[in-house]
Amino acid sequence: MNESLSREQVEMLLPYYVNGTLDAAEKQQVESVLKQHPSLWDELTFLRKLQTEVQAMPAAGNSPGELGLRRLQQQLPASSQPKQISPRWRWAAVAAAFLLVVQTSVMMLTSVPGGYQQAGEQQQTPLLIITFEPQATEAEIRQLLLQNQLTIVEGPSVLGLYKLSAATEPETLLQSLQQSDLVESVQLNR
Amino acid sequence: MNDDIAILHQIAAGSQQALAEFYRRYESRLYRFICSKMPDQFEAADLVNEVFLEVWQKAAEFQQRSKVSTWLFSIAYFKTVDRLRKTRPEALSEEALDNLEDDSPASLTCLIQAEQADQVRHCVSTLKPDHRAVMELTFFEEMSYRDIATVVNCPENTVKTRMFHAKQAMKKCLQRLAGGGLSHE
Repeated sequence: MNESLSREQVEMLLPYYVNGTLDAAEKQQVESVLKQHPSLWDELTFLRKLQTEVQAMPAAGNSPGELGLRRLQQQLPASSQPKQISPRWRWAAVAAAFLLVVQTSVMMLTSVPGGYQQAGEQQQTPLLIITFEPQATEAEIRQLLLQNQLTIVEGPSVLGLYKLSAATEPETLLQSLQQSDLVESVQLNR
Repeated sequence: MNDDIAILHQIAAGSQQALAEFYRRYESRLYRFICSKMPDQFEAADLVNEVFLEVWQKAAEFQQRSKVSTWLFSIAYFKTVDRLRKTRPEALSEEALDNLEDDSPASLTCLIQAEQADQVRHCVSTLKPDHRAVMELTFFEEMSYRDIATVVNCPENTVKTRMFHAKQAMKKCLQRLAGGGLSHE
């Protein structure tokens, strides 16, 4: 790579000069062009600051973390046998279908005040993110949800996560759900 | 790096412990990367799970043609694009090359100040997913443009172009937020 690079080509390489991944020849060429074009130093400074800011940025929301690992580990034996669907997962699918019906029924039966609710308002209420113990039956889960006036908003996800909205303060429900034998994990979504 | 390969060998041999170690090593970085393209955090968490399931199933197929991290982020990228294709095809529309103005170089050093961190975050969030993903891989993962090209399965020049457009878009956004003094009128 002995041909000299144009200013434009060097500008394209600057982010990789900043992150230190250019090979020796490219690096040398970039430095040579930088000497000829002082205006590129401003680009360089901008990119360095941008890198600092990007690295300091928190990730959007919480990653699945240890909970995700537990769910993954539960799936491993099944994933090694791609053609077979274990009875547990078949049951899980049936349970999920039932829960969907329950969710629909609860939403239809719950008295909803007339008029519209703003989507923005709904998002202000923290949701509960929950996973159930694998042995929990659909009837038990249904009872738990009804007892606590909980509605499934989303799920199940591949991880088995459900998002629930609560008619009462979700913070107060958190502790009682954590103590339930049916619940594997529960946390507040913000 | 070699450590990653050793762990992958153990995973290929069926070690769940090795998979857990590998998961803890990469999970949050992978989630962050997936979130750069996938706006729904719930789906992003699902995709992280799918990626590690694929690692479990395909660890034996890793051929060391690239770094383990490059291979892993490629899986994440393909799964994310596949999911977006099914659920949000509009998010994958080919990048329209905006008529990006060249900025006054003299003003650039003023654009990012420490107190403007929030503005930077806002501007990053407004980037097109493809541009943001490349910027994340460049600055957060500190990957070379060659590795990024492997991850996102595109020519090296496309990576450089996307990064260039990401930078230009950041400048425009920051200038807008900084007020009239820096804008091109």
